Amino acid sequence: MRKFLSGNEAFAEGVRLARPQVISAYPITPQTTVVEALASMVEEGSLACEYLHVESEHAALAAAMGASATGARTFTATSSQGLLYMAECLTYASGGRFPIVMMNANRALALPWNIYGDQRDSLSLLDHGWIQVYAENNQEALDLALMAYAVAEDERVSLPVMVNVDGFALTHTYESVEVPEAQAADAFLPPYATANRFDFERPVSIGYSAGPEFNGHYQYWHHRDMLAAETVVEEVEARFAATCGRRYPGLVDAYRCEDADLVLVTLGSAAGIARDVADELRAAGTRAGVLRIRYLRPVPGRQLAEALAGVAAVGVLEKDISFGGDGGAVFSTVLVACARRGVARPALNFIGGLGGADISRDQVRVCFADLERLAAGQGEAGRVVFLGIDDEEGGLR
Amino acid sequence: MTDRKFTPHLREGLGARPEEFARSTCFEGGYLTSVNAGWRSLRPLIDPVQCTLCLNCYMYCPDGTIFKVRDGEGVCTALAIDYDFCKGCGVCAKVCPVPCIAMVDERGDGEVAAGISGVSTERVLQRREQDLMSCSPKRGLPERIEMSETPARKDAEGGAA
Ligand code: SF4
Ligand code: SF4
Repeated sequence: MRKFLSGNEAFAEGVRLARPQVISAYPITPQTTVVEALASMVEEGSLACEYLHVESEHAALAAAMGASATGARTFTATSSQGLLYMAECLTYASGGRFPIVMMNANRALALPWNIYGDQRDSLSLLDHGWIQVYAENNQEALDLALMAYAVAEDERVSLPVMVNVDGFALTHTYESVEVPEAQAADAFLPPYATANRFDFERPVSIGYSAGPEFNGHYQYWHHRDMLAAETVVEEVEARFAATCGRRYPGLVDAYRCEDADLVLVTLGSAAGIARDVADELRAAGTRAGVLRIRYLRPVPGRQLAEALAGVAAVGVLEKDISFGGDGGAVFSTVLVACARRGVARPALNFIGGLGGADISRDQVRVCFADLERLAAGQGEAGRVVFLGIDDEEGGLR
Repeated sequence: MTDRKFTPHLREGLGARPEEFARSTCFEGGYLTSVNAGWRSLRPLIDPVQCTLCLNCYMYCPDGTIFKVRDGEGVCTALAIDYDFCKGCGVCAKVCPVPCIAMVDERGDGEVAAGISGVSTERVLQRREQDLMSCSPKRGLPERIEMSETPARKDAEGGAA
């Protein structure tokens, strides 16, 4: 059924179709309306689910783990400082291999205080052992709510998934969205069954310690299973296409990259305008492309290296900065992914959209113009440019 | 109460095959894999002569390392402490109403470190070697006893119910 929904409302529809048995969440802007929508669904009886009103985000994820440890399908959602407040529990949930799905409404981090969208919250937590995926639009957000459970609960993966939805740009923006029929969703996503749970018939120890002798083995398997998620994502997307009718492209979404000289890598809702500008440049004779990262954990290393191997210059546009580091977290990830696979292309990092600032068409044009100069041998590769702040000076070295 | 189908029991370590258990922190219950008491600096000592078998210590021990010793008829005649897992927190000594649990310095001079009267302060043998926290050789654990009955009741049949 086609509906006109905000990103949060769309996500809530996806969660309802996934039939979680326990939802545990604490409200925070701009996530609030997703948990409000779910609370209404539970209240009106259209979602049979235990809804836990907890006292904090830390408690929200702790309770979600407890619920998951009884074998329940579990959902939580947060944003920004709430996600940081959860941080301690993030590694518990991933190390415990609880396939919780969380929606994170991407939002700036304090200080200075700011409730608007950027991606510094989730990007600062890439190494907490969660699968991280970024939605571009409300349709993808809804579909990811369903697909995230299928990936998380696959036995080869058994890891929690953080679905990132750009704060306000998606969470509070209305779009026309196709909501799958419950029957199709049920055919796609069977009920959760796991041996990773408390069971009176088969007593288990859960959440135990592991000393120096064995600790490394746990981390080894966690890493291995996260890497296995790549295959599982592809299988899940094929099944989703068969049951719900929409086909997603795996860990990355490449747009006109095959023969591109200039490629702008980005993630989330900024990809739309980047593609528009690429089309505009194509029409004017410049071979431009856009590579949208969907999954940042696991890192789409092979896909990045393959897509970027033949380009003249590559830019990474992200709503993040790793203070004192090599630009933003996405830039570092892209460069390392390429370097590991023997690909070294001249690259620039564009930092924009911080604290809810718009990434404008003109800014994307500036990015591509900079890449064009770099491809022509002008300017220094590796610069980190804050859009609208130091593009004139040419960025920080 | 229905009969339990499975009674967890303590077993020795799993050997050196972490792939059997290291994928998630969820594993069949009832295993203790290594001696784990290396951080204990004070050792609780129960004076069996003064002990009234009130079970306060047994209930309060946060690690469940105090166990019942029974005679041939299954009657609890004394309490003992599993020093492979006792962390030396002293809760048992605090809650003993007699009091008859001494906290003795592990460094081996036998000095009573907690204020208990009337307890023998025999020199305690050093056990630090076997208490070393990690990589300790797996070894047999002392016999454990079903934990279902109260002391001095001779009619308990069948253990856990
Ligand atoms: S010292 Fe603590 S851990 Fe040891 S037996 Fe007493 S209460 Fe238990
Ligand atoms: S608390 Fe004291 S008296 Fe009671 S059982 Fe323990 S050692 Fe004995």
